[in-house]
Amino acid sequence: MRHRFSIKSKIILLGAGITLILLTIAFLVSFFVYKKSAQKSLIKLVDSSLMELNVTLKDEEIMTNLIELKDELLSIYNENKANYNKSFDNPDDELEYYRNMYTNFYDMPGMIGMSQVKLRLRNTYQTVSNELSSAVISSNGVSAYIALIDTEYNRLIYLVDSMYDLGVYNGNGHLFGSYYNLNQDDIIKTYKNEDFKTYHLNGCKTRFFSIYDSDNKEVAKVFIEYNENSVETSVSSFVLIESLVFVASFVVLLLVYILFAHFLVFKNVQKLTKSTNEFTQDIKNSNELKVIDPCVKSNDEIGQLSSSFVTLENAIVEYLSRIEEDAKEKEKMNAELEIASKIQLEALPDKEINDDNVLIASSIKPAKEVGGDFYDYFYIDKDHLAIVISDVSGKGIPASLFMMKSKELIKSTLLRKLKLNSACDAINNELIKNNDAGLFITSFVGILNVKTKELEFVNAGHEKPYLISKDGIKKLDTKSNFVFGGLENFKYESEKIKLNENDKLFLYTDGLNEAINKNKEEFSYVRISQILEKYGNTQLDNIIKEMSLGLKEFVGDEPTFDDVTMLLFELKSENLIFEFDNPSISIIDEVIDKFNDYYSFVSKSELAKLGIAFDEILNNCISYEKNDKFKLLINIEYKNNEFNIEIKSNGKEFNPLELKDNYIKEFSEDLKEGGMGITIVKKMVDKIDYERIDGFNVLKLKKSTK
Amino acid sequence: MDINIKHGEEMVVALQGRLDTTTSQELEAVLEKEEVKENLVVLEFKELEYISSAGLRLLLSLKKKLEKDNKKLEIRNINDVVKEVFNVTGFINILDIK
Repeated sequence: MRHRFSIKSKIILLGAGITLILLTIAFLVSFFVYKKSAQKSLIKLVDSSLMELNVTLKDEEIMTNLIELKDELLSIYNENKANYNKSFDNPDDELEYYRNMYTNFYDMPGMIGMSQVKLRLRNTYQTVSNELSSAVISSNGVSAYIALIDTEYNRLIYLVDSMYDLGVYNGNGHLFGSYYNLNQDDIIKTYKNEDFKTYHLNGCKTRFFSIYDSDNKEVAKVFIEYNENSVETSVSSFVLIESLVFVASFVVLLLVYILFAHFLVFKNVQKLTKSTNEFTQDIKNSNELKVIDPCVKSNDEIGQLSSSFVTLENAIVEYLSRIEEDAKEKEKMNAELEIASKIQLEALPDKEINDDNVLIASSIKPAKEVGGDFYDYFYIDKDHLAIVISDVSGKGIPASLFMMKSKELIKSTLLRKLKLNSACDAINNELIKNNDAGLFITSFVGILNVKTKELEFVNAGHEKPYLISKDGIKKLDTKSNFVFGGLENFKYESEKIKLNENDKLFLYTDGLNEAINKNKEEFSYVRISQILEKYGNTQLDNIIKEMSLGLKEFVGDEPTFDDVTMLLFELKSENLIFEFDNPSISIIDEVIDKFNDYYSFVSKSELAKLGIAFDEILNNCISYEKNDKFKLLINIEYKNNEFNIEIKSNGKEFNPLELKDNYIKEFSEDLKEGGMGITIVKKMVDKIDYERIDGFNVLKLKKSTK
Repeated sequence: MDINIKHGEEMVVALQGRLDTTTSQELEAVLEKEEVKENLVVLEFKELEYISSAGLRLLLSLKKKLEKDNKKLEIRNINDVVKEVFNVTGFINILDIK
């Protein structure tokens, strides 16, 4: 994401600001320094002109004449000084005034009759005036003059002026003998005789020095007036140049700054950003990860950040590869768990029993890959069938290992044909040995005598089973013995019940009744009973299927926490019996299906032959007789590998066996009428007899399955 | 019973289950709707458990119907039980069994 002010623009703005401030300060300082030095050099110039004048005026002749000129002036001045304070309306009046006063000096040039003395003094005046003029020019000044100070009247009395104005006067310069009223400051300063200082005299900046005669007596003071216009002109041209330099320096400095910033910061930051992006992209695209060095060589913070970044990358690469390894490890673990789970399930009885005596169906659903539930059933001998269902405390691998151990222990113990309670005592004590983990199992162990239909069992802390009988559904009120593996030398008590033909016993683990739905309700015994009530009379597989469906519907998407195991067995009646009132053709399928299920332990081809026999005979009976009183009874008995089947129907007397064999031709003429079926039936069974008993046509079939 | 019909060079009718009173009616209804374009109809009996006389009647009528159109009926892969039924009834001689 780009901010409106990136770090780059912020740094550049900051740099520009600082450069601007520094340059401005430099500009101002240099401006004032320049101005000061320009003023100084101007003063120096003025002073050096003054010094030059000093040298010139020290000339003996000039000095003598100047003193003479001064004395002449003073002699007249002293006479008139009281009346001096005059103001004039125009320069002509002023000239007239002083010409009248100093007659000797104001003679027009070239006038006849001027004395030699006067001429000499006049020449001196002129010479000095010229010198003063040169000094004005060389000092870049405005004017120069020599004057006397009248301390009595606080006047400056002009002696010689750079503007030679003894002749024609235009108002510029100072007339010989004219004066200027000094103000208080001027007086103090001139008295103090501070030479070479700047004073504001007559509205002008003025510097002066005093000249002395050979007796070191002050003769007069020499003044040069100057102005600072020249300074200002040079300062303003300096400002112009400086401004250009200012802008140029600003631009150059800023560029240099940006370049520095670029190479020191931005470029490295860019490198760092690029590497970071590439690295992130690699992670996102799950490319093979490699450390990307931003290659920032600087030793500054960015360099440090860069090397920290490389360290971070290394850490990430290492971390990710570790995660990958972990994942592989986990995958391997899962694969192993799957195998373990398979081994565990394979340890359970692989074949559901369906023989003359009993039919067993089962279902197990471990909550984790490997579970702690198990069931078992096996014949201890010809007449005794052991039935076991157990739930190991705990889940996962420890429970599953304990389950394997327990299952084998129970089986081997039961095979020793001990009394059931002694066997249970032995199982318990054996499980307690070397059981530091403190695992235990709840178990229902039963031994069914298939001949007497007596079930002896021990309930070791397990859920009570349901008995499904002709009288309905009943939860067996068993004695609750302690769990196996819990208490050493516990004396288990066994119980016995007598079962009847077609009774079913439903065994399960608490994973069923304690299964929880999203409202935290338990599946409970109530729902188990309800499903058993509804489906208890159907086939075993169907009861288990409906129970599983009911549980699934109840639990929904909630995760299951416990294994769910169901074991269901049914005591078969020796005979399979059907009774139909005025049946339709459709019952044929029903009979054959049930027959096939009931005797699924008999070889398929034998069942097929009997299936054909049923189809032919029942088809015959049902097509012959169609009335409300028509009854069809079938009794199938299977003993000692031999079927004895009786089919009774109360129609007109009819012996199908008397039908002739040769039917191909016959029924090819009349396809609907079938007598040929009986020919087939005869071949399919070992023996078939017909009898008429009490108004019933009775067919008796015999077939051995050996 | 499962009936699976495939058309091609020959029409193959694969049957699974029992061909008895109930199911032969079912098969008859299915075959009646089916248009036979091929010259040969094959009944695949590999998955057939057994056949009863009702099934035999259907075979016979099917054979007759096909022969009328100069078409042939062939039966393949019969098991021992079916073979025995065919033997008993003499169908072994009148059907083309492979």
